[in-house]
Order: sequence, then structure tokens, then C-alpha cells
Amino acid sequence: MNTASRQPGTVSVPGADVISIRPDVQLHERAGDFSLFYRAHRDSIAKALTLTLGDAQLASEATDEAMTRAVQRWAKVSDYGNPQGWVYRVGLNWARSWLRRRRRERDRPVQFTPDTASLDVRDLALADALEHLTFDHRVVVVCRFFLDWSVADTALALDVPEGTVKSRLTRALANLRTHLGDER
Amino acid sequence: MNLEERLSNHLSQEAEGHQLPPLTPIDTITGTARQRSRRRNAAGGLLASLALAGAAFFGGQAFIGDDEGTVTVTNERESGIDVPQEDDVLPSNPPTIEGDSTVQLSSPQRILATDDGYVAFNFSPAGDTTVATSADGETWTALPAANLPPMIVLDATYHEGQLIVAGFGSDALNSLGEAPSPIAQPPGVAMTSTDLVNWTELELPQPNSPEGTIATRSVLHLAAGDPGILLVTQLDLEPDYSFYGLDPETVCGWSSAYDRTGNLESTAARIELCDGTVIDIDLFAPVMSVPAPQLFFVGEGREAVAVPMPFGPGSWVSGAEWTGTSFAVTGFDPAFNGPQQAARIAFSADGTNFSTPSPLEATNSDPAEGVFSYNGDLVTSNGVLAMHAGATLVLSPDNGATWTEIDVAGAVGTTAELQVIELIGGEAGFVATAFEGGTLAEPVPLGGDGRTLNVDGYRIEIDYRTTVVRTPEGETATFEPGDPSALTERMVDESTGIVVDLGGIYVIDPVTNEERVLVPAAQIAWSFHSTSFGTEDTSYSIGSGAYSLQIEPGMNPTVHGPEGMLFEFEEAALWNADPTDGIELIVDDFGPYVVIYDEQGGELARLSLNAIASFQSGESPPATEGFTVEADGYVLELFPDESAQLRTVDGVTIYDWAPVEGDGVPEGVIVEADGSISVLDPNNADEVLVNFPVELMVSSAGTASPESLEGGIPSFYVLFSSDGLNWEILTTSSFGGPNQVAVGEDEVLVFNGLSPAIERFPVG
Repeated sequence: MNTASRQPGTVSVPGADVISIRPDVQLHERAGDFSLFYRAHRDSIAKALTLTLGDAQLASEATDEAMTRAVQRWAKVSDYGNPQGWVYRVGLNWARSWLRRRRRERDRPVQFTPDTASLDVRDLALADALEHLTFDHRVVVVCRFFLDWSVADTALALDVPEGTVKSRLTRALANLRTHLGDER
Repeated sequence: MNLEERLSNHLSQEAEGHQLPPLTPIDTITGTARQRSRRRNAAGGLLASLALAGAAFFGGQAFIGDDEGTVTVTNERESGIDVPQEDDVLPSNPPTIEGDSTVQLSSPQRILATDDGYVAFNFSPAGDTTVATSADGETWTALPAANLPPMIVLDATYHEGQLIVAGFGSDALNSLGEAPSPIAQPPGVAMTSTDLVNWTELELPQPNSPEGTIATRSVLHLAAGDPGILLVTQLDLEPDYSFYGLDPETVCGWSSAYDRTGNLESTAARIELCDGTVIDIDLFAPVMSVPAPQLFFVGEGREAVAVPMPFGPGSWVSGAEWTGTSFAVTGFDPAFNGPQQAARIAFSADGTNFSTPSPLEATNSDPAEGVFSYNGDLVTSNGVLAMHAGATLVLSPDNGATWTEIDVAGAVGTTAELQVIELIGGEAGFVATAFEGGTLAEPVPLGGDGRTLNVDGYRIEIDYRTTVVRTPEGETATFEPGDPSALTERMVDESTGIVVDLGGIYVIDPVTNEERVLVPAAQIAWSFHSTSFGTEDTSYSIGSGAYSLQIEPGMNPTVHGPEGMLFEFEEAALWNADPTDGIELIVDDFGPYVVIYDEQGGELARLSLNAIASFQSGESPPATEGFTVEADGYVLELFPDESAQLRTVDGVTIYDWAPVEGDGVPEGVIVEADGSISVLDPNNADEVLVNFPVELMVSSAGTASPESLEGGIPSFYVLFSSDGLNWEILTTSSFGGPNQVAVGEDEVLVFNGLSPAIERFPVG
């Protein structure tokens, strides 16, 4: 993966300080300061979930829910190799569960389609291609290319084998390339 | 710029374009976590006491809390923490909110016929709660959130234009349905409404509690009649944290150990603070001694008055019903394993005077057993009283004066062995729901927090499905009353003289041979299941990896994991709703299946219920039989020994995988979350060589012969009778069974358990 345009392990947020989202930054947080963890990662996780779910409100609620569960088990969670990944996954699972229930109750399909109509999206072709990804593929793409997690970190966060992450990434990228006109 | 760079840039840009809600204050997060922990610790005791009452809340389904021990009552999203929201604090006089609120009522848990049609409740603890109304039984309109009663509804009844609901109150419910009460168990509340907009609380006397404790009242049963409303309540005690100098907000749970030597009772309580501190205190009151149920009557416009208990000391009230002319209550004496009793309480028309409860006696039944040995609730229709037990019903057309026993299968002219699991009465008559096959009702212990009791030197540990009694001499007797035969007969440990039966735990004096009660059943979390599953000679165990779903005759379906049983389904809940956040039943286009989640909500296993229908008893699930799938010119064959081979359709072997230990999938073969199978390139594990879509898996697994569908799939019957004597079959189903039924003025509504389809049957 090429991240040369940005500092490794960071995302640039206009008008804000650089926010570190690398899993290894949590090492100094293991003393148990949940509030530090919360301030450092809540926003990035909520954004990652927004990208995954296409619903900022749902993503925000999912992040709150996951953070609440994290603080209940903080002594344990803070010892995990990738606590941000844990929170992301819990939020993801909670949101998917909610969406499943919603789908059953409303009897209508739930689209994981981001509301990009109102966004200033410059790469419309890529935005359109991303909409064609399956949920699982979108998850690994967000973990890998937004959260900047390695395959190992992504596998740890999603609790799947690294091979699964690789296969999903391979298939996701192939799918994107297909929709983008097979460019390489 | 390559694709990876484009993705990074695009996703960052898109993330910034979304307007995220303001950051939730961290105090809100931590505060919510504390409250959840408290409720979770309290939930076991609360649920136990509810089930102990034999309460037929919502068709006999046990109330199952989610992993936070809460029930939602909002139809908004069930997260969002305690951020104040518009609907959180209900106004005292809420306005009706108009809007498009038509809902698909797929899993109602209670439907009441009203003068205007129907009102249905769906309060799945794992999902949204709705109260919906319908004029025709087909089109349902959800009650606006602002018009929901400000409480967690657990029971409801309707009488002459008045809807009465009971449950637990709260001053404010967040979008999780979490009540920010400073004490673990919110007080019981009953409310009435005539317009589904304004709700009036039925005020009950404030309970008195011993010093150092707080008492909260629960409403166990409701009955509404012409003179007013009869409430069956129960008190629960817990430590008064303030009395011990503790801030209730800092308490995350408590447990107790009861001790009785002779007539001296004492209770030691252990309070667990949220910071991990443990405080042991001696309670002045013996908390284990659950106060007897209390009856209250509320006449229109009048204060609640206490009604004497109709049964002896220590008895339990299991139901209440308006019979058209008087109230009837049913109960039993758990300490002596006595038969179910019933009594009539008549009130004056204005509700100001009531008769001394008089027993309802069976005059033409075996006096040795009594008609009320039946376990079902007393229900009525047009003045006829009825109860059910297994294959039979008992009827009294004259308000308890005489009784007739009805064989249900014979009444509908079938040779099938029918077991009635629910009986309801309505204006048009009675509706019975029955299973084909199975055994009689079996009491099994309720899951939840274990309890430890010390009585006269005996140490009694009551845990999930197991009771261990240690005698003063150190001998141990272990009982597993989950065995289907366990509690239909007494369980006796000959070496220790310990006895466990429906009445409780006893010890037999080796000299006098007299029995002495150590713990009466009222103080043990027994729950009564009114049905069974399957036939006598079938048994299923469907699983993937270390997890399995087991359905055995006479037992509730259970889910097992590597370390034993994870969950026991209530038979009805299996078909209805998400039983818990940890184990979820999902019904989609591929049919019903059970998903087991880990602590973080990740999937551990997915167990197909359709597999039950696809394989005969004792046969292995498809993963261990092996199968072959073909796609994109490749063939993947998975063998029963968990080896695999990838070859071209022309038979050229690409790769052979050796048998592996573990999850049964060879390395390089990946079962994706959507059920499809990917094979990584043996020469480059970063690349997927071929993906076999999930459709192939479905067709591969769906090859069972029709014959294998026979012999064990329960058949469900919905039966109707206008008078209780003459019965007809309204509908049957071979799988899933009815979710809920409702009796209207001239029709019966049947909601199927596996689909939102509603069947309407004109009757009468």
C-alpha cells in the first residue's frame, strides 16, 4: 500500500491537529486511562464506521455503544493488541445487528450506500465503485486504507484470519478495478 | 496515483464530508456503563422472581433480557447513550404525533382484542418496542413514541374501553430504554389509558421495608373487570445503600447469602462498588424470605385497597382472571407441593366491597388430585372457566361449580398426540395452541445468577440447571433438574437423604424418616415450561465447529459451546425474536438460523435451523459429510476427514490439503462470512484463486431426501372452540408454529412464527 502522501499512520484533518490512529499508540494508554483513549480515538472510529455504514448518525451511536462496552471492560480491552480495532468491531457488529433487525422489522433492504450526494466528493468514479462493494469488503477497505491498519492489525480487529483479510482485500480491489474500467 | 492511494485520499475526503453528531461527553459514556453494570447484576434476581410466579407473561414466554439486562420501550434506535433526547422525558400530557407509522407486525408478543379492533405489543428486549393498533388485524399503526406509557411494559389487559398495562416504571428512558434509576430494580407500575394518549398510574401503597433495606413492588398479574382492576403484586428487597453510607450511583451490584439455624434467620449481603471495592454487611432483614404476594383492588376513581390472600401462608398466586361475574385467582403452596388452588373474589358493582375469597372446588373430579392440579392459567370466555394441562382441558360452565375434562385430540377428531401449550379466552371463544407429540409440562430451573444458601448447616448452591447440597457432614448431593424426567418425579439422593421436588429442597431425617424443608420452592428460581418439543424418539444436534444446536424430546432447544451449554431457548422465543444479544435468531431469505456472538459481538458460529429439517436424527451436519462445489472451471471437494482437493473440471489436481485439526477447514480454504468459500492460490496466498459463491453451498446442503424431513419436526395446531366443549382445527404448520394468536369478536388472528404473514379465521 502506498501512503506516501501522508505521514505513516495518520490522517490529515483540515483545521485540526494530526490525529494518530496507529494501533501502537495505545501502548502508553495501557495504564488504564480510558478518557485518553476516548479522546484520541472516538472521532476516527466514528468516521471509519461512517464510511463503512454510510450513516453518520448510526455510526455515532455505534461508536458510543462500543465505547460504553469498552469502558465496562477497560481493564481487559486496554490490554488487547488493538483496542481501537476492538471498539471498531464492536461498533460494527452492533450497527449490523441493528440494521438486521431493522431490515426484518421493516421488511425492506438496507443499503450500505453512503449518502454522498451532499458531499463534496471529487473522485465520483471511485465513490460509485465503492458502493458496489459488499459489506465485508468495504470493512477491510476502510480498515486498510482509511484507518491505515496493516493486514495483521485488521485481522486482529475483525477477529478473522489474516488470510481472510487478504482474500477480501484482493477481491475488493479487483471489484473496484472492474467498476473503474479495469485500470491498474 | 494508484488505486490504493486513490482510496486513501478518497476515504479521508469522504470522512470529512460527513457531519458527525457532537462528541458524546465521556461522563455520559462512563455513567451509562455504570448503570448497565448495576442492572445486569440485578437482572437475575428480578427475572427469577418473575418466573417464579409462574407468570404467563405474554403467552408463557419467559422474559429474556439482553446482555445489558434491559428492555427497550422506545421505537427509536436502541443506542445513543444517555444524551437527553426529545422523546426521553415524556411529558405528563403528551400530544398525539401524527405521521406515517404503519408497521409490519411480525413478532407481536401480546395482542388484545379491543372494542375498536386490536392492540398489539412487541417489546423484544433486543429490539424495538412498539405498541400498535389495528382496526382489521392486518394494517397496524405504531403508537407514537411520545404516546407510549412511560414504563417498561410486561403485562397488559383490556376491559370495556380501558387498556391496563403493568411493568416497571421509570422517570426517563433513553433511547436504549435504560432507566436512570438510582436503584437496581425500578419500581413496579400499573397504568391505564382509554385513549392510548394519556396514561394514569394506579397508585399502590408505598411498601414498608425493614431498616437497611429498600422494597420495590412488582406487578405480577393483572385482571380487569366491571368493578375495577385486581393487581397481584410482590415485594423485593435490596440493601438501602444510603443507609450504609454509600452513594447508590457508585454501586454496581450486590449478592446475598442467607442463613437459617432453627428459627434464626440472617442475611449477609455483599455490595460491589463500581470501582471494584467489595463491602460485606449484615442485613437486619432476612432478604431471602420473599414476602408473600399481595393483592390490591382499584375501583374507578378510588384508591387501591388491599385484598386478603385467598390461600394459605407461603402460597403463591399464579394468575388472576375476570370471569364475567367475579375475579378468580389461582395459586399453589410451593412448600408442600400442593395442587393448584383457585378462589373467587366477588366485588360490589361500585368496587367498594368485596367478598371473602372463597375456594373454587372441583365437584366432579378426582378429589385426591383436584382439578387445579392443572398447571395452566385459568382463562374465561363468556362465563366459562377453563384451564389446560398437556393433552387435556378442564372446563366449568358454571363458574367453578362443576368441571368437565376434555381430551383435546379427541375433541378435534385427530389421532395425533396433542399437547396444549397455551389457552386464551376472548369474546368469540377459546383458542388453544398445541404441539403434536412431546411430553407433559416439565418444570426446569431458570437460568441466571446462582445462589448460595446456608440452612441448618446445609450449604445449598443453586446454579444454572444444577443444585448442589452439602450436608453438615460434608457429603454432597448433586441434582440436575434439567433432565426431563427430573422434576416430574421427586429426586432423592439416598446417601444424604436430600430430596428435591417441585416443593423445594428437603432433608429426610434418617431416624424418624420425617421430611424437613430446607428451602421451599418459592425461594428457588423455578420456572414452569408448559410445552415440550419433538417426539420421543428423535434427537438433533446440529453444529459447526465447537458449537451445536440441540433439540431433544421434551427439552427446550439448547445451544452448546466448547465449555458446555450456552443458552436454552424458550420454545416460543426460538421462533419469535432475538433471544439475546449473544445468541440471535435471524430469519431471512435463507431461512431461520442461529448466530452465536462472542463478547465483542463477532460471529462465533452460525447454526442453520433448516439443517434440522434436512438431516435425520443422529446424522452429521453437512460439513462433516463432505461435499463438492464447482465454479469458474474449478472443483473444490471437502472430504469428511476435513481434507480437501482443488482440481479443474477436467480432473487436473491443483492442490491437495491434508486433514487438519481445529475448525475443519483446511488452510488456504476460507469460509467467508457470507457463506461462500474462497480458495487462495497455493502458489501465492495473497491472491484468491477462485471463489465458490454461497448459492453453491446452499444447493449442496439442500440435498436431503424428503423422507428425512419426517419423524420429529413438530406440528403446530391452532384450535378454536366457542364453548370449550366442541373444538375445531383452525390451522396447522409443520415448522415454526404460530407466534401469537388473538381472539376478536368474530375472528381469530394467527401470526406465524417464521414470517410476518397474518392469517384471519372467521369464527362464531
